Amino acid sequence: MRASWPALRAERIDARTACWRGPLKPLLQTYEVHVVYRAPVIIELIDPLRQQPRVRILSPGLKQRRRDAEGDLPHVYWDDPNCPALCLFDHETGEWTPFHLLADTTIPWTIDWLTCYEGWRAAGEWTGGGRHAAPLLSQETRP
Amino acid sequence: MAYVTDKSAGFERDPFLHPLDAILADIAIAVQLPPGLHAKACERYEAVRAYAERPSSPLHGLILRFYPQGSMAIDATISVRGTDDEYDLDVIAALAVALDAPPAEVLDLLYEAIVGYPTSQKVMRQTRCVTVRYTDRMHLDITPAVRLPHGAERESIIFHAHPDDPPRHHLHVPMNAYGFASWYLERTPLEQRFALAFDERLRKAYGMEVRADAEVDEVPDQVSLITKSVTTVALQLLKRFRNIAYASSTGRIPPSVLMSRFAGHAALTRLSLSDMVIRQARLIAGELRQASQRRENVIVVNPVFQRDCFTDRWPENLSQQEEFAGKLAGLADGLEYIKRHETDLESLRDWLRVQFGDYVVSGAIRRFNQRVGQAVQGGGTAYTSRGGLYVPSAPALVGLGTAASSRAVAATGHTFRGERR
Repeated sequence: MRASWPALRAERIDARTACWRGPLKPLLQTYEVHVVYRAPVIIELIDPLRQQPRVRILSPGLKQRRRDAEGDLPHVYWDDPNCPALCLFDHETGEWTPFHLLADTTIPWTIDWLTCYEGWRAAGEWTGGGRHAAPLLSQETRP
Repeated sequence: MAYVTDKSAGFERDPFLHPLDAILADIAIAVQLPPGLHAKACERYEAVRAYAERPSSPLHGLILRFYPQGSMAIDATISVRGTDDEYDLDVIAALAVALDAPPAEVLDLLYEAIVGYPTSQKVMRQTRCVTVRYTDRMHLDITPAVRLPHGAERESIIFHAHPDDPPRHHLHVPMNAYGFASWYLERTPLEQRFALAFDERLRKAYGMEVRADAEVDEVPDQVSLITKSVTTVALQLLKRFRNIAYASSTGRIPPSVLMSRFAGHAALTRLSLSDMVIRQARLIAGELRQASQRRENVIVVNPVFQRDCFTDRWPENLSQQEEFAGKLAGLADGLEYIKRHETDLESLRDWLRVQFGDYVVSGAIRRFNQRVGQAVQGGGTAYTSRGGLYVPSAPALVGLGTAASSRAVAATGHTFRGERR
């Protein structure tokens, strides 16, 4: 992570959990991002939906658009209505597994999301593709 | 064609790495002559020439040649002020008439030679030219000229005669549009990376894509490359900015030829598109302000023919030149601010709309968004170490590497999910 994204600062939380925090600037705006990941005890039993790295945008606050076709904010989990987690991959197709490096997946996918978010705000259309899942219970998704 | 290739740093920087440069390019693409129309304009003026030379024409045997002038000669044509998709193409009609012929007579002669030309719209006699209009929103302005007998190549006189003015106000005006165009083109080298990257985006915008892995010599002849320098594209953006700034003005506006002269002086390699716009804007503003400090109207002449004055009709007073200087300084200040500070795409869009017009900027932002989205979906993005994203210009066209600042992290496909609320 340090080699690819030197601005992100790592912090170890416990034996299985780490987080990173720092700036990403996809276009002309810098966002402070927070990524936390708790490695599963048994990799074979991982539930990618609930045990994926969690990415939140700490600042500037993401601006919602009410009644947009993509929803108030596209492709997020509303576990925390004030700071939703980004949904960066399809958990049903194996796009991400614990064997993937976060530096090669989570971070560039976060950059993709932020870029598409800015385009959605400016042009009114989410052009990054994707699909929507059924709502989750918030307590099941909080790390 | 001769290119300047900058490999001094071991690589060539992608000219659209910075999002502001990418969006400015999209704006420039939206306002310039669509691919194919330049060739069509040439066909049209040759057809008008053939018609004006017909045996029954009053100019039969008196037409030496037609040749492009102004923006058409330097490939800097943009849409006409007040429109987003009408184009003025300027042509000189070199005639074998007396040098001291009364201006109104020469203009009337040209009008009589062209009136009745089969377009659906009326041919119009103007103060210095005759205009032929076409239904596809192209206008040809044909200016009669007589070559000076002992001057340099194509040093000429054109004729000024407003139909409502008495003859004592009519003028013979020195001109060498051909020499100026040659001077401009010599001073504005094509940078290969920019020229090909811009051409690729222009073609994609019009659905005329060249295969991404095509080599330059595989491009079919009939799809000739549209090669523009950074200087010329920046000039086009400044002209568009001028058109928007003066959209509701009724009087004369700063002439394109004045802006082209300064663009030629500002030409420099290895500048980004945004930096070149800033450079040209500051150069023009600086000259105008210096003239104002001397309490004089600025005088700008043709660098190859001093008698050809580009400022004979504008500015009419100090207030006009100070106004334009202020507007240009504001544009340069705004672009520099954007490059040095934080702004999101939505705020950038709002600011650019004021500078370059709502319709064009909205379209440019839409295209930018589409291009980025397609690249995200297709894994065609590149990232910088600070978390930046850009869509690389087709490197295969040039056979060059990407910018050294891009990361070794390869884009991988993924599908956004999440809840819709």
